[in-house]
Amino acid sequence: MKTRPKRFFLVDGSAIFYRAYFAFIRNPLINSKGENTSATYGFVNSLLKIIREEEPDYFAVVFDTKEPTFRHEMYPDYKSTRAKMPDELVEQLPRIHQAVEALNIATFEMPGYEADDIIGTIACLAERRDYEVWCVTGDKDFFQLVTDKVKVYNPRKIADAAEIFGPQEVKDKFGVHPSQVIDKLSLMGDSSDNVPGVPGIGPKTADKLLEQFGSLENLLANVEQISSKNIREKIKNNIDQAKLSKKLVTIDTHVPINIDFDSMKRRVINYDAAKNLFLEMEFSSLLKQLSPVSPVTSEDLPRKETKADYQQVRSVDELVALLSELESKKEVAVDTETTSLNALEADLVGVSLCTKPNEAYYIPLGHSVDKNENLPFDETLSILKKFLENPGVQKFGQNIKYDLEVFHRYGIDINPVAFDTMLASYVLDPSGRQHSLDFLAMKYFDHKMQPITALIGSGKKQKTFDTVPVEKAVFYASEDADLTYRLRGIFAPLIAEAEMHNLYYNLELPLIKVLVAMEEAGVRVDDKFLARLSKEMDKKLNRLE
Amino acid sequence: MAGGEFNINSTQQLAHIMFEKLNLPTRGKTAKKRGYSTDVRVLEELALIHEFPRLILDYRQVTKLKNTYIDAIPRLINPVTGRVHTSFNQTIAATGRLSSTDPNLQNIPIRTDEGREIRKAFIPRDDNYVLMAADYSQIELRILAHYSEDKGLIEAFRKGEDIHTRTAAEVYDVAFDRVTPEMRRAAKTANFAVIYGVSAYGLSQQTELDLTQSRDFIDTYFARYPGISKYIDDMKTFARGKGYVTTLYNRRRYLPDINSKNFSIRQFAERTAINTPIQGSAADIIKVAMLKIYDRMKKMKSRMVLQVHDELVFDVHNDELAELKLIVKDGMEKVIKLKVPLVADIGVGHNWLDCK
Repeated sequence: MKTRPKRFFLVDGSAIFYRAYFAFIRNPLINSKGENTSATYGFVNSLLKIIREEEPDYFAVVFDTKEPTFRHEMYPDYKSTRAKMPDELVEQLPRIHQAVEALNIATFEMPGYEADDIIGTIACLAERRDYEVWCVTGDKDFFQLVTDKVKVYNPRKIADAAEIFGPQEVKDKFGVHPSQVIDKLSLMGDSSDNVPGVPGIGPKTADKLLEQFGSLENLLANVEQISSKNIREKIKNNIDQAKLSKKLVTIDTHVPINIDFDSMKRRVINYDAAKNLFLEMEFSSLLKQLSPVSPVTSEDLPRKETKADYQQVRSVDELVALLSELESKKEVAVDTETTSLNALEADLVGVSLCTKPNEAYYIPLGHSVDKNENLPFDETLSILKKFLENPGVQKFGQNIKYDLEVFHRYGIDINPVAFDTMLASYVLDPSGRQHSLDFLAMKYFDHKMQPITALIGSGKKQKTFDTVPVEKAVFYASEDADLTYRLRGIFAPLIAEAEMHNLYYNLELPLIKVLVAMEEAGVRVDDKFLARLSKEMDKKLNRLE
Repeated sequence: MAGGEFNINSTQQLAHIMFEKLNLPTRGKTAKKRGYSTDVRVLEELALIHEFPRLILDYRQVTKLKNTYIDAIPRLINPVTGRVHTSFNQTIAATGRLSSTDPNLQNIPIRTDEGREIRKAFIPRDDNYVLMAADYSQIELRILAHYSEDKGLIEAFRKGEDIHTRTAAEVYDVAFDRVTPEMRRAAKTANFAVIYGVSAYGLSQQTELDLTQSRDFIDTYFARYPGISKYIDDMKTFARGKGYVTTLYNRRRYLPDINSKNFSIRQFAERTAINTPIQGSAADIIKVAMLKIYDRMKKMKSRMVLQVHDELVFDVHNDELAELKLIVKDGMEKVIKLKVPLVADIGVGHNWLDCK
């Protein structure tokens, strides 16, 4: 079954209710208590429309806070020309929050950051998970976030269809590609946010300059090449201001906020709360809408079927053919199945390999059931040794320290160790409590892995992996290698982005081999001395008693 | 002494004896109101006025060490190698440090007699070997000196002075040779309090100073070391702006609570913001040292065997001792060029404790 990608709607709460308020400014909605309900009505209507028409899988509303932001720190005049929020709108703020709660939608806000920054941060993370992201806003600043997967969704008037902006639409509407939006705004300024830009440069000139120079940086570096003397002087006199403007208009996509995707899954509307609120506000038309709205919850959606293709390697010939194919890929995720958690005592039961998402292979070696499925042990290991020690093939693992130690017992030294997903997860967030494969698969792919207990049980009756039938081991072991491979694809760019290349590749990753050597060396302890000490302590404890 | 036999592991019986038979002052009931608390804090306080709670504390500590180390370690001996193969965890500690299990080396007490006895049990693999321990001296304060660029602190380390005596001389405004052991102790506590988050109350708890004296002490401390004061402010500001702090090797620790409206939650995040660049950089440094040393001892018979706190332990073949000593000292001290020298103290012995 083919399933659509997950759809994530991120609502710029403050922008949407502002717009709703002004949309009705000539003909405001006033209820019988004299309350101006325009903003709340328009806001709720937009949310219901999204639920009804767009069926989001994930949904969140993000608000600005009253606190000054890092942009105010940079530029005290930021947004200083904005009129104060009208009192009628201020009064509606608690209503808006009530409404979002009744609709059971997750909300975010964070002092010091604008909603734009939080949305940008979540959008980037969601995009990495291959979700389709819609930023619900009328604010052109968001054009800078637009990619093939991230779009701007402008709800416009109630009766109209929403306006949707992908990269081409941004170019058509705003004159430049999304990657140039920041530069254009930095040149032309933005009077609504009081971003200065370069005085005298309007949108058309900005477009021309960017067409010629590509980017603001390039423009500032080659300012002498601007043909018009007038424009050249304007730019030259305002270089700092253009740079400042760039900082002001750039959406921060690295807001340090805890993002829990599960908490943003679309949930069922709280009907009673919504009904009561709508009655109180006298939104009769919305009341009617309420019943036919049947929100799709993520639980209701068909579970994404794994297209996984996991195969058992059935003969030495097959193995040789497979490895020569894998060798050409230059990178492989490796995982071992063994009889013990203690690597120094673990016997090898099987090896799984993956060089492509959803495609992995299992090599049975030491199963005590299905013995005839095992490949010949020594011959297979000598073939594997060449592959695992081939310096031209990068090896990835999850807690690869363990696999290194297991293979050392058979005279194989995995090399080069090019990635460890557990270590990457830790380096990216050392406060994170869990870096297990199950946990990471859930966190990054919404994927629930088969638990080991399904194969070997738990507690005292737990069996060892060699007793698992090969057929079942194929899936379990291949899944480990597959997820490791896929997680590496997520983590590698994150490490580069956080400027942790040196820390990860030159420090933590090579340290694995040092730790392996230390663990394997071990240290002698004087057990006779400890036994004596134990007796002495008993005596001491007896005295104390 | 307790006036009869009782089960020492029963907190109820213990409370009965302490608060009813011995009439020691109580501090309030436990959360579920089942009885009076006999936790470590209560016992520590009562130990000042009566011998019995001190004995109970000793008992608890000795039992703990016996169970987790003295009786447990022999069971960890690998039957094939005859050695204990500690497991080093690279992904546990939020500061960036390594941790270990089976046994957990971090938790072996350094200061108590029993803790020292446990170190005695770690020995070289055979008669041709000795143990060598290499410990970074004052690495956290050196990193603080580097980050804070405090002139006083930097000068003290460059001259190789005893840093706590120097601090005492500065804060009490006396000559170096007039610093008393009490003064040095207070200064030492203050130096570490800075690294782990300073509070006058905490200082008064750990020294003979009362609360007012502690406050004065801290005020004077920061007046003498203005760089440290600035470092603390800088780290808090950085954390508030970025949401994380970093170490010398750009390790990051996120601090989502740094802007919390809850005072104590925010304060905890602030302390972490001050401490993490120091502890995390110490972790970075010893890890780089391990890499460098490991690379240079690959062809040797000697082995690096343990890493704990700021210390590395080696099982050294007698023939390689002189060479490895140089490699280790050089490897540890030349990791990175800071504004103050890094110093590693090396000791050799027939057991781990001997290496001091």
